[in-house]
Parts: sequence; C-alpha cells; structure tokens
Amino acid sequence: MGHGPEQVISSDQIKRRGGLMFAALIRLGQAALTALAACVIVFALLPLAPGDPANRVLLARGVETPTPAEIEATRVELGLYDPMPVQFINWLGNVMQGDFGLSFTSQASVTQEILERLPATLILLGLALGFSIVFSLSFALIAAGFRDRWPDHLIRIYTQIGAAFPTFVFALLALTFLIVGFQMGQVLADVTWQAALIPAFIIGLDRAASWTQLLRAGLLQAMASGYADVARTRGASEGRILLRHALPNAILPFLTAIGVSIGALIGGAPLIEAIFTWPGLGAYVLEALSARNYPVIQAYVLIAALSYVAAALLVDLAAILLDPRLRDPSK
Amino acid sequence: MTSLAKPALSCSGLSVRYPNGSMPVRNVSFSVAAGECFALLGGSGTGKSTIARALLGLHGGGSRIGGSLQLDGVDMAQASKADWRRIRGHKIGFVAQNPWVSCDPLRPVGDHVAEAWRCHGLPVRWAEIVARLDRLGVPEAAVRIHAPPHTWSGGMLQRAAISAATALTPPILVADEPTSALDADRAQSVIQALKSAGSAILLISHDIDLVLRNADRIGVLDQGELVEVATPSDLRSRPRHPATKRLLAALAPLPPRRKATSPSPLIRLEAAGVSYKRGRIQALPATNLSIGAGEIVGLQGPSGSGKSTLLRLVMGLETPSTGTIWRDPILQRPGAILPVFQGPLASLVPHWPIWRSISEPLTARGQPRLSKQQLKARAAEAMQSVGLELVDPHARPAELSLGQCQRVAIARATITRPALIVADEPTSALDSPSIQHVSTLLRQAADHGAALLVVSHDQGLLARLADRTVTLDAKNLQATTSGHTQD
Repeated sequence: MGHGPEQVISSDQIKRRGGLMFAALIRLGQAALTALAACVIVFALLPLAPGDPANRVLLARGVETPTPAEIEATRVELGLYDPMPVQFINWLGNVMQGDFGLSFTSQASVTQEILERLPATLILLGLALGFSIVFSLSFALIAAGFRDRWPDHLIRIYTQIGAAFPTFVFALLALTFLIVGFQMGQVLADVTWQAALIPAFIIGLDRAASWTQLLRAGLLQAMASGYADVARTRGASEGRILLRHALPNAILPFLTAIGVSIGALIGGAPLIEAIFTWPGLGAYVLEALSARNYPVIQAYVLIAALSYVAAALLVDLAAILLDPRLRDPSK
Repeated sequence: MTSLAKPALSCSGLSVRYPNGSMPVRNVSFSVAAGECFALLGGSGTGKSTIARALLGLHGGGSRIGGSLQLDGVDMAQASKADWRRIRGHKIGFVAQNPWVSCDPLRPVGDHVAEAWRCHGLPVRWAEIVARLDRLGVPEAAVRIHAPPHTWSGGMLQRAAISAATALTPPILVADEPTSALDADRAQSVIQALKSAGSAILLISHDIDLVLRNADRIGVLDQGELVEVATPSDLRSRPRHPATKRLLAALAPLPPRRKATSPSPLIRLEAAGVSYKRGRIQALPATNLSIGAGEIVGLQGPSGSGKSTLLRLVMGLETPSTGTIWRDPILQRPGAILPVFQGPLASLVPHWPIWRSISEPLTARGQPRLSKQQLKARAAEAMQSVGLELVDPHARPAELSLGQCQRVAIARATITRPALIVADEPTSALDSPSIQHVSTLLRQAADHGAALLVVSHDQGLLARLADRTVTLDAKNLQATTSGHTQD
C-alpha cells in the first residue's frame, strides 16, 4: 500500500465509516438472535424427549423403582412445575454460568467432564482446520497460476479424489500405512500436538479438496474479469493480478464455505476421533447418545451450534471489511 | 492533422489467426499520427475488438499475429509476453467499455489509478493523480479517490479510467466502445476528456454518429478487413464501400408514420407512484402518462429515475402505491401486453429452436389451440415479416447474431398482434445496421395499430422513432413530456 494523499475527511467518509459500524452491529445482532434460537432448540431437547425427566434423573441416580413421593420431590427439585419460559430462563442462567447440570449416567458435572476432554478435540480440530486452510489456499493459488499446466492437472485430480471419497477412507489408509506400517505416530494416541499431526493432516487434506475447487473456480473467474484484463493493459503481471485482485475478490465465497463447515467439523468430530482412537469428546458424546444422556447431548449440541454462529459472524465481519458494497447503507 | 514524427501506431498487413484456422482480422493496414483521433467503425462481428486485443498483445496464447504492428516505432508483432508487459501502459494505454467492470470493486478508485504506476514498480504520485483527475473534470478528486467504484457515476469513473490509462503518457490510447455503457448526455463529455488526455486515440465503435462527430479519420471494418478510410465529411458525403453505406443508413430518418394515432388512451396513469418500505424508498414518483393505440411513446431518464418501475407498472407486474392506473379492457386478455428486452440473447430460451420462442405467445391461455405444424407455419410467417426468412427456424439463439436475436424477440412480441408492446432498451446491445432494422420493425408494429412504450438512453433513436418522449428526472422527480415534430 502506498501513502495516500493528505487525508481529507469529508462528511461522505464519516457516513461510510458509520456504515461500517452499522453493518457490523446488524451482523452482531443477527448472530445474537441466532445464538438465542439455538439455545431455545437445545433446551427443548429435554422437555420434548419422551418419558418423565424426573424418572430419568432418578434412574440415573440409581433409583430403579422410585416411589411416587420420590418422583414428586424430584419434579419439584428440577423445577418441572414452573412454566416453560421460567424453566428456560433458569436453564439459560445456569448454562451461562457454565453449568449444564449432572450427567444422567455418571452423576458428575457435565461441564467438568467436557472440560476434561475438550482440549484434545480442540487440538485435533484446530490443527485440521489450519491444515485445510493452508492446503486449499496454496493449492488453489498454484492451480490458478498454472492454469491448464501440470500443477493444475495434478491438483484437480487431487480435488476430484478428495471430494469423491468420505474422510474415513483416507483415515483408514493413513492408519494402515503411515501409523501402523511406517510407525509414524501412535495408534492409541496421547493428547499431544505431535500425535495430532497425522490425523489432522488427513482431515485437512480431505476438507481442503472441495475448498480448493471452490477457490480455484473463483480465482479463474476473477482472472477472466474485466478488471483483470484492464490491469493487464496497464502492464500488471499475472502473479500481481492473481494476488492483488483475484484473491480478494474470490476469497469471500471461500471464507463462507469455511465458516459453514466449522459446525459440520465439530458435529463430525465423534466419527473422526473414533477412527484415530483420539481421546477427545467423540467417544464421550457417542456414549451419551446411546444412553440418551440429555445434559451431555445438550452441552455438545450447544457448543457446536455456538461455534458455528461465531464462525459465521467472523466471516460476515470479514466480508463487510473486505467489500465496500456490503457496508453501503443505500444498497 | 499531419505530423512529421513517427506515427504513434502503425499496422501493415495485420492479421489474426485463431487456433482453429479462422482469421477474424485480415490484412489490416492503418496508422495513427501523434495527436490524431482515428476511429475503427464497424458492426458486431467485424473484428473491431479482436484488433484492439491484438494491439495490446492480449490476443490469447493460441492465436497468431501476422504482418507488422509498430508501437511508437517498435515492431511488436512477434513480441514475447514479457516484452508486452513492459510496454503496456508506457507505449499504449487502454480504456474499456464498461467502467464499473474494469475497476476492481473492492478497491478505492484511487488505487485503480495508482496501479498504473505501481505495476511498473514506479512511485505513485498522488498529487499528480488528483491534479489530472481534476483536469479531466472530476470534482473533489482528492476526496473521491478514497471511495469505491460503485459509488461513482459512470461518466466520472470512465474519466478515472482514462486518467489511469494515460498515467505514463503513452503515445497511443485504445478506447473500445468507451461510451456505450454511459447515458447519452455523458458520452460526449467523456469523449472530450479522452481527447484532452494528450495521447493519440484509436477509437473503436459501432456508433457512426459518435465517430462522425469526434474522429479525425475513420476506417470502416467489414468482415475482418479494412474496406475504407476517409475523413468524416468524405465518409458522409461520398461513401464508397457498401458496408459504409449500410452504416450510414442508420442515420437516415425512418419512413413517415402511416397512421394517425388514436386520441383515446389505451392505458392511463394518473399520479401513479411506487414506493417501498413504507414510503422510505421511492422507486417512481407520482407520474402521469397515457398511451393511445398506434402511438409510440419514448421514455428516458438517468439510471435510478424509475424507468424500469414505470415499465413494470404499465405491464401490470407491479401495483402503484399511490395514484391510479386505468386500462382499456382489451389489455386484460392474456398476451395483450408483450415485452421486448434489452439483452436479446438472454430473453430467448437457449435450447429452444427459434420457431418455438417466436410462437410461444400463441400458446397462451385464451388463444385458439394450434398444432405444432400450424405454430411452425405462423412462426415462419412472423420471421418473414422481420426479414429473417433466410434463417433456419430450427436454429438455436446462439447460432444467430445479436441483431437477428432481437428481431426474433420482436417477431415473438408481435405474433399475437398485442395491443401494447413494451420495449426496454431494445437496441442497446446492437450495432448501427441492426438498430436501424429493429427500429423500423418497431415502427411497423405501431403502424399496424400497436401502442409502443420504448425505453432508451439513445436520444437519437427516440427522436427518430417516438411520437413523443417522456423524461423522468431523478432530481426533480417529475416527468416532463416533449413532443417530436414529425410530418
């Protein structure tokens, strides 16, 4: 970026800066509403589930044949006679303080149990996300820069294969050859960054396939656009056009795709962790699902939903920072 | 204008051969002297844009350039990509057709201009950028260069593009239809800005009116060959080649109206206006308009003045928020109002044979049921009436020229003899001969009794075609009517 001329701030510009704040506030408000809606749905899992919650809680506490008095006492204790909105607000208040209640199966605090397992999942997913962003960005730029030459052909074969097969195929291959065959990494993994490398690499490589396709297509479209052509007539090199003009214009759909798949990534974590025997939340959540351990399921679904909302918000904010048309109040 | 110095640009025997062996440009020779404005004039498909791309070295990897192409005395016909990159901007500048398309939408306009220096690794002189924009007629340039392209008007943005193209003072500036995306009243001032920028100009256009007014010399292209070079006055008074004569025919007045217009209106808008979001967004201010049978009403106004909304009101696709619309009962039957759109190709179903598009209005509710053979026969009749009798009715729209596609659209719009035809910029995508053809056809439809509402930014067209013209003004939010004297 060169130095601009002396900064003259006109009322026009102030309005535009106001436009940025306004657009950002709108997105924030929308995100808050989405988060609230997610909370309502997650809360509704419990009262909408079949059977008497009091019975289930008592069963979880080891009371197999409770007396009517015991059931009555538990109902009062759980606040089941309160109107639904009051129950929701109580529940939401607890959740905001990090209290998801007691696990139906272990009687331990759900929050405590999740916090023990969360770091492992975060390490794996974070590393996988990082890998996939780096892979897709570099592959797409290489493919677009070498359009219709061998690097492009190679990358397109990779994206086809990656998009065609589900992750676990590659995971199994990696397990068989890399980890068992060549003794790289561990079968029963400890939670360390090193141990997460190979699984994250595989997940990242797989995720990156469709993102590479998306970004490559966007880059090629931008390279064929009028502004790219005009930049050529000014004497700009292809590389300069690719990085300065095509990439910023093509990156928004790419960021949106990443934002959308964050929720899917967390939702799909149990499967991935099961393959690599990764001691994260996966096994815990699978177990909770089969035991209908609602407080655990609620906590996990809420984490996935809120991560999605946060990611979508970040993508939206990036979009209005990047594209002046999106913060123009007249549009 | 003569100059003893070497020409800014000279081609001799220039040809372009595509990988498939076809030659869209053959044996073209001309030169542009320093300070001269030389125009290449031709209809669509005559090789204008191919020449422009070849002159900039953007002819594409597979294409081959033959002959010689000298820029400022250096032969570039066989130059490498790296050679081309060095001389672009320095020896030759380019102004594209649509200023919004040619600016990166994410970057402020100042960046777009500064790129001219930056991509050659030169320091950006902001004070000079502002001063040059100021000279080209951009007010408050110092502030405006921080704004993104979508906030600029077309005329202003095209000035910025001119400033960027001439930043390194190239001896020659290639301008490919630089005004066809602009409103007519802004086009002339942009041409003035182009000429004042200091380079010799190669103006590429299909608009014979524009070229006659502005060029020092004109070269007429026909089927990839340069068939005639003359000064504007010679071209006008003594055209030699048939292609030139065809282009000049576009300036000829249309035949006089055959039928007097009926005094009783077919549709009448009384203070009809449209607003959205509870009146906060006004799409169309209260407007009075009445159209009688057989009458041609022109409609013009800057973008955003409500032209499209008014069309939608007339077609019944929108209801007025204020005021009333009275329609003759004849307009209630299906197919009584038919449209002709701006993009002829986009308005035809791509995989349908054209006979099916043309005869589609005959299949509307209320029409007698016809067999496929009957529909084809009616379509063939309609094609004859628009001069397409030599075109295969089974052809797909992509096999036709744009002008032919628009004639197909007109055949479709007239096949049921509708009471009202609504045409939205029907000629803006067409070259001069096609414009003449299409306006003659629209005039014929009116002579047969149809009422016509024609939106166009081409004032010359409206003056020739319409009985009167309504102007929507964005500032005054008022519709004013002016009549054309035609006898």
